[in-house]
Amino acid sequence: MRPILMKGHERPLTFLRYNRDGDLLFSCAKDHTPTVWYADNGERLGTYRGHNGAVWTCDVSRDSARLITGSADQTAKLWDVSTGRELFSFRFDAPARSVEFGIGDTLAVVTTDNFMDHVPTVQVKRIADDIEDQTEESALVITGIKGRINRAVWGPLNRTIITAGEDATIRIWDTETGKLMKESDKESGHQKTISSLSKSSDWSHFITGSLDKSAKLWDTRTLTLIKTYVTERPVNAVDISPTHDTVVLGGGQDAMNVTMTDRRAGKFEAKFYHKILQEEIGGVKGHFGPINALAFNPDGRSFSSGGEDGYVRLHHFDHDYFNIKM
Amino acid sequence: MQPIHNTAPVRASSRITIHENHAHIKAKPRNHIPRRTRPAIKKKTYATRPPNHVSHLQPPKSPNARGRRTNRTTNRDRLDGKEACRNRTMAAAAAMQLQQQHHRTERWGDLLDDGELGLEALLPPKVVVGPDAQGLKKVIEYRIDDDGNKVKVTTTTRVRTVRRSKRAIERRAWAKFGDAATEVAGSRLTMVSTEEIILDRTSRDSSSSGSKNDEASNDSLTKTNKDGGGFLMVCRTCGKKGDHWTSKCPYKDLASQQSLTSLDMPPSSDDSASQGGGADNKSAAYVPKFRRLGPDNTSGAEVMRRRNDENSIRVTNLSEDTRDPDLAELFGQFGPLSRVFVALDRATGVSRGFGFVNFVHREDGERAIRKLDKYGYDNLILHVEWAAPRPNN
Repeated sequence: MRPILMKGHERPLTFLRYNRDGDLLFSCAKDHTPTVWYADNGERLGTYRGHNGAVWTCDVSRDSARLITGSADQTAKLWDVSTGRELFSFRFDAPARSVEFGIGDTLAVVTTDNFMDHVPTVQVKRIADDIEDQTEESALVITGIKGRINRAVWGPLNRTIITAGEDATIRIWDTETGKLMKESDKESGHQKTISSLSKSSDWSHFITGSLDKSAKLWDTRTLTLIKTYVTERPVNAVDISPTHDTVVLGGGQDAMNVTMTDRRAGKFEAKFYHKILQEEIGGVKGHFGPINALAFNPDGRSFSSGGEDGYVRLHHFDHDYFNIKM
Repeated sequence: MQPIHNTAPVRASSRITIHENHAHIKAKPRNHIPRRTRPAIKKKTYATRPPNHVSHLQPPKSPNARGRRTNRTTNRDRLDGKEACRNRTMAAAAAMQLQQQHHRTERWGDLLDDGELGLEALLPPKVVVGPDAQGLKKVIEYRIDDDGNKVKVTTTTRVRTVRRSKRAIERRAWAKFGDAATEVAGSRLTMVSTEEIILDRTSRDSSSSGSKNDEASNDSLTKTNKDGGGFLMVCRTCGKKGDHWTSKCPYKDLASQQSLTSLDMPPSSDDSASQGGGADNKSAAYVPKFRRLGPDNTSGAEVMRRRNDENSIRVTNLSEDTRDPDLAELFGQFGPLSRVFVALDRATGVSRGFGFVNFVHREDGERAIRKLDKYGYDNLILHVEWAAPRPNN
């Protein structure tokens, strides 16, 4: 395959997200402007100007009308996807690290970092249909997690919120009461910071990537460990193929060491593993920095990766990918 | 979801165009459109003309039809103007193709006016076949090249129908915003990689699974050996049975020397291995791989030299017919040989008139030299002597 290289960002990529139809790709980077691209040819559609800090994360509503972004400028912003107009800005006391729309797009979960004196929080915001009615109030605030929360996502039917972060523990919270329901097992779980979390297309299971050089597949309801994928480098990004039994892991050595070693030593490939057999299928090279973000297209025919090098690489799979036999 | 076919809307429009033309055939004179406006029309037309509708636009056969031609152009202009908005992207893609067509069809009127002979009018019309079930569309065109030859051009293209949601199509038409709206045309933010990237499956997957299989097969072989009693796994170096393969023999470094010095000795079994083990311990110093002697390392220069120089006798002034067996027969009378070699010309295969014989025992060699030097063989007088050691040894 000949990947499409998108050089719209001037700083390392932080997050990639496809919309539900798979025709738009949203990219976030440490420069201040999230960008949207056409996912088939990589043409830039627009940018969302207004943040004043690194943008850590984004999510797009199911109808691709609204975009929510979380930034280090201590805000999360709602945007009109088609025009790039800023609709609303949620202000926080700390950088917003993770955002996600719940089912129905009427709720959004936002996490804030531990910053200055503030403890990390998970906050649920109501998203009004009419932007005039939008308020900044939080419907629910969850505290009590030590260490930064890198990712918070909704569980099935918006009944739970799953969090993962620096303390290497995955927690499931009840959204009605805000109480902790389940916690991942310390023994079998990750040993170091969990850097990424991605749900399967049906939300029945999810994968977490950690700096302990492994990725783990968990059941969403019971939080039981299903599979473990061991790699050679810290994992920064993970995703699950929506159509095939593959998962993709991205990572690489710490950015600070990159210039001191050979490119090959960095292991900056996106590694494909068989989801069930846990065996490595292969790697896709290309980035010359660690991979920070990975996303499969919802049609499963392409995936994109964003690296510390500031490039988004959009890969349309070759025919033989679909015929891989293990 | 609805299928999008690139050419579909355009085709419809051109049909309308033609329909309208009939009403105007006689109404408009040939030069209804002032000539000075023509270039502009021309330009517009070929930017928006549908790619596969040229078959309708063949140069007319009668002067009467000429009016129709011009007329058609105007009508299309009007219709395609609207069309152009919708099919902006398509038009760009088709532009190149159109340019060629324009060359033939559009110029016809001008040609007659300019008094040129419309050679191209004699060409067969363009034929479009397909798209068939595989989506293959064949376009057969004729043109006249620079040398005046008639050329048939067959273009085969694959038409792919992409299914996209309605919403996605709407989003395609969105105007650019933010930085993208002010983007410079040559900014080249999006590039297709020049490098072909493959899903690299060789890395660990094949090697690890391969070695695993090897081990498995090894195990199964050894097991059957042990169970069945008959030993398949016999080390050719130390003669041990069922313990390891020849390539994995722990004594292979030493055994090779033994085999060189005592070629005719039958391979001893376990006792030689134990000897080897003792010798192995003696030479504890590290020996670089290329200096090691062993059956695996026959390519090593050291080994070759050693083998060649051991009791080696050079025989010169051999007749051209002499081959290895002849030499072996001649020298074999004096004692066991470890090597017989007649130098052959690599290109022609003819003997170069000399050879080497290695004896296992030096005294046999001495005897052979005494007897065979100056010996008449095949009507030539042989010259037999100890082969001089290599200068660099």
